[in-house]
Amino acid sequence: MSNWEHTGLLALTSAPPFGWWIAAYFALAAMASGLILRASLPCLIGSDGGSAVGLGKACLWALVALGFGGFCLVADLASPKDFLLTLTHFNPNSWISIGSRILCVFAALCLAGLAFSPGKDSPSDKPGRVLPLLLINAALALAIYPALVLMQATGRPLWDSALLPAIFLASAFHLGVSLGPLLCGLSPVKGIGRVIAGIELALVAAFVATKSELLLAEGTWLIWAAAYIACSFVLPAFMSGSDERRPSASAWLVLVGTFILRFWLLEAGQSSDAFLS
Amino acid sequence: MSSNLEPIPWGQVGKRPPSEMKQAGMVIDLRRCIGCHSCSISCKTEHEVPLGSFRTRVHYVEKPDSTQLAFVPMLCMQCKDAPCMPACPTSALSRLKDGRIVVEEEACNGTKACVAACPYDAIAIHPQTNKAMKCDFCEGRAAVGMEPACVESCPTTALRFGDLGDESDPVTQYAKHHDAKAYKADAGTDPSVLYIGHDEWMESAARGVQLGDDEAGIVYE
Repeated sequence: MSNWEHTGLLALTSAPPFGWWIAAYFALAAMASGLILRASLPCLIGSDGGSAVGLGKACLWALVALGFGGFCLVADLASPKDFLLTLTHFNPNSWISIGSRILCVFAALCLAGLAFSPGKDSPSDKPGRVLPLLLINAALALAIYPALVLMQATGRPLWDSALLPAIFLASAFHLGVSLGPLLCGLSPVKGIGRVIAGIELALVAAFVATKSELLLAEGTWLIWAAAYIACSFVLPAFMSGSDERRPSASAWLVLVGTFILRFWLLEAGQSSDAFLS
Repeated sequence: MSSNLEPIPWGQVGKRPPSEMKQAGMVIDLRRCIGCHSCSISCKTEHEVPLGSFRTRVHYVEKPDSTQLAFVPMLCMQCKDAPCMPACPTSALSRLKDGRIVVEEEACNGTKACVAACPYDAIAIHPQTNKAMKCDFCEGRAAVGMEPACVESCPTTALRFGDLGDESDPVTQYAKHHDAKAYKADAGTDPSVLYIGHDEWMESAARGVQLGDDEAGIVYE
């Protein structure tokens, strides 16, 4: 790096447009979609793991996550009025605009899931298949669209990768499988969880391999990558022992890892070296 | 690269109102730029751009072997295939008949999607209004037949404004004669700002210093 650059004098670029509020929103959207996917899929395929009560709890937690996510979006814009503009104006070419509609539909379906959720003592604990099917579609869209928002930012070459939607989806499902037993009382599916975690890790590894040149230009990527792997994979695997408190701790760690992954991808894509190279 | 430095008489360029233009554009002769920042400062004055924000910048680019320094004025390229326009969730960016892209402030909600989409880092968010701001070749001045402020203030006539959609326009001819090229042509955005004297090392060696919110005070204004 030349001395010119150290002076901060002449070659300036703007501050990164997407900060940690957006990363937090992405992680919360992943939590919402992951929980719904985890709770709805057994209902759809009719496996024993599906229950209307579990689906209702997943809808409740998804709405809670979306509520915090909405707060993050408003905080990022610093104005609720500006946030509403996204809903009152529509650009069919913009994934943010499409995503805001996906959010509304997802929230409406979660409310429906909550409304039709039976009580604990209800004789029928089968939610049918229509609502789970609709919820799964909305959850898939919610999990993937943040990646499409990033891919639309063609000025940031790191995000120009078809692997991003798959990474976001796998990460969301991994989070849902981890948090499902803790928040919704769903039965643990360790085997499936390991497979999904493996898929997520493989996708991220493929992404790093294809974008290594850009990632290497961004010096701190290794720290973030290490933190992500530790929180999402290593520590949860290590902690899933017999201690009763550890499974819940490992589930929250996966949530932290989900946030770190998104924050890392956002930061790396917006670093000046990766951006201007 | 041609070494022909013959200037064209200034009475012939940039005097047509942009409304009559097919494609308003700019040609920047990097061989003439002395890095004086007249363009960026006149732009800030014209549009009351706050401290720490820019519509036009001048990048200093050092050749990797440190034998040469180039000055590269950067502004909105008014791309014909602009990535900022589809990215905006509220359709706040629109294109005028003469090809310029303008921000409709009332529709902008500051999501910064356009900032992320722009390969030239040419869009910024106004720190007070939280609206996107960018170069529009001085729309207000154009309405009364004036040239953009940066073009008028450049002491070496390195910036030239004209109709790149008109083959007979002196600026278009000047660009063709001197083999003007787009910056970051591989971005595929088909910019309307072309550079003369643009060499590969100026592009590959360009590295911006990214300022955080807490560093806004170290700018050169």
